Amino acid sequence: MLTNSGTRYGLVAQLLHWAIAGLIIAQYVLANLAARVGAVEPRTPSVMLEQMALLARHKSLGITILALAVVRLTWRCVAPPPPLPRGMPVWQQRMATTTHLLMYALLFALPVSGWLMSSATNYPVSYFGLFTLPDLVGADRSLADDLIRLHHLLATTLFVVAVIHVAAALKHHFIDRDDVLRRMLPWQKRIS
Amino acid sequence: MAKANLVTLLTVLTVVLLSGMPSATVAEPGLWSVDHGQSWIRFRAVQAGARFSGEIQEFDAQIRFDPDDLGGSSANVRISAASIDTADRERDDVLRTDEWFHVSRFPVVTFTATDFARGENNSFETVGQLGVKGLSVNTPFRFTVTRTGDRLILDGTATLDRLRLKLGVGEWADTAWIGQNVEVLVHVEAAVTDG
Repeated sequence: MLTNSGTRYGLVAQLLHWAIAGLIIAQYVLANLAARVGAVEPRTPSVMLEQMALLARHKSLGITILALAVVRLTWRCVAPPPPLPRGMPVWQQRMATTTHLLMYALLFALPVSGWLMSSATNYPVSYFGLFTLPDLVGADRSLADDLIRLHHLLATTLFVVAVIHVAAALKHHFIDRDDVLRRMLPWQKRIS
Repeated sequence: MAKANLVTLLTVLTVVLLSGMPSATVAEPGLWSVDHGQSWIRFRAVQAGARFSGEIQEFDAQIRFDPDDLGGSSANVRISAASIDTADRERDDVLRTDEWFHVSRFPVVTFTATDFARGENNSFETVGQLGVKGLSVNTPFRFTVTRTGDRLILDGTATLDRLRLKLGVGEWADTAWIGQNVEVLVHVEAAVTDG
């Protein structure tokens, strides 16, 4: 089933969810690798080029995530998700709504802050070498420093929220033994 | 007494006549008085697939260009290689290293042009000599000149092959990461002065 039903997510929502999750994991890996390479001494040309290559991939994936975030948000407006299980305590419902809202916000804020950062540092974003994205702001060193800090702060926030998100899903599955996680898994048969 | 007076008269006449006569050689076009505040030299390069731009902060241009006297026209530009500005300290530092502009040994990049031709659409063309890192490379430069009163505005472009100019050698030579072609854009505003 492509669209969501009253009891589970449809294939479109599931595909978007896991694709974005996978890309986000890749982003953390690339960012950390780039930081690791960036700290290497001495900073030879090949070290600089390796960092350049890692960051170029990171930027391209980031824009991909931004595009998928637009699709994701559009899809959510068009196809509302299944309601939370009956009997779920109100505080848990609020937690779920808050974390999901935060993740949607970060899904946009992170790539946009990165794009701004690339503009301010005068290292524009190229989408996989195909075309260069326009700069959102002009080159500005002090603005760049602020944007770097913002991008890192947002990344840390997303990491924390994602950990809570995963922990909650596992709690629902193994402790509450309900269908919350199952609803997002494509191979589970129809839930009654 | 009469002889001395005659000699003096002839001398005075000669001096007067010679100073009033046009010189035997054709006068070259007037030297442009370049307005450095309004003039700039920028460039566009590609790094990791992304196009970015930078600017030359210090340059000097001796331009004697007259569209009606292409034969006598000339241009002589001197660029401070250390003044290349890409809005990033590390990148600017790298550009000054031996593998790039080697600024410690070649502090000045020069461009000299003496042969000009009319191009299409009111433009002009020249193939000048670009002096970089001890090399002298033929470099085509296409430009337009518009005149308002005694103010001249020159806009031109040249495309450089950085590998031919030995800019970015060794590990930097891979054009997949730093594009081979660099576009240079020139904008000069000047007032025409005499001599």
